Amino acid sequence: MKKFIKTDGWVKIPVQIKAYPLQTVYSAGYVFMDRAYIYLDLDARDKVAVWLKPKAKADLDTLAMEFCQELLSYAHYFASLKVNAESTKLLLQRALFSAAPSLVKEAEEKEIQDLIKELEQEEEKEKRKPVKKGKK
Amino acid sequence: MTTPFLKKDKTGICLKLHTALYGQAAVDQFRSTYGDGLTIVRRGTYWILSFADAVEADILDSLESFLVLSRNK
Repeated sequence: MKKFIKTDGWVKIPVQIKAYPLQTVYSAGYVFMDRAYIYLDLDARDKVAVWLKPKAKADLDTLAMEFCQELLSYAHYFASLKVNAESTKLLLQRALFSAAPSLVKEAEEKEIQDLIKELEQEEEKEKRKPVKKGKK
Repeated sequence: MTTPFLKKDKTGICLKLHTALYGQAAVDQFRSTYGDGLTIVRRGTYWILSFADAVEADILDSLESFLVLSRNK
């Protein structure tokens, strides 16, 4: 197993941004805030170096491995959030509409108004286009 | 202190922050906290922060608050 780089009470965890986006790193870091100081650095292209320094006495390797677990956990959370975004939106809309049916009518009216506005804008654009002269 | 980003010498503590990860907001936050006791220079893709009179733990605490801001964006 590859060991983590350690220096002066700090442990370095290299993180691939393609696998774990920055938002995931921030969230995992936030969880560790009560246990360790956190410093972020850009290691190489597409790689962020997360440096941790425990606030109380702790094993650096264990701390680093726990951080990796947290990264995976948040990566899964954000991935699920993205996958389920459309379903969540639909469920919320349905719940909202069943609680207040008048909202459905309002939403439909707004959609119709938007469509009319769009059509009018297109018509206006057509009118502004210069008429091409035919060849003699 | 012998970390690549945090160094201590006779004049004080020096901290290196990558501009891609710590933007202007983070630097401004440090400036408002430390005022005249802090010198900020931009060298390539890094901010170099020189603290004349500060404690390492306090500096690292300030870094934490930036992490909170970034997470809540």
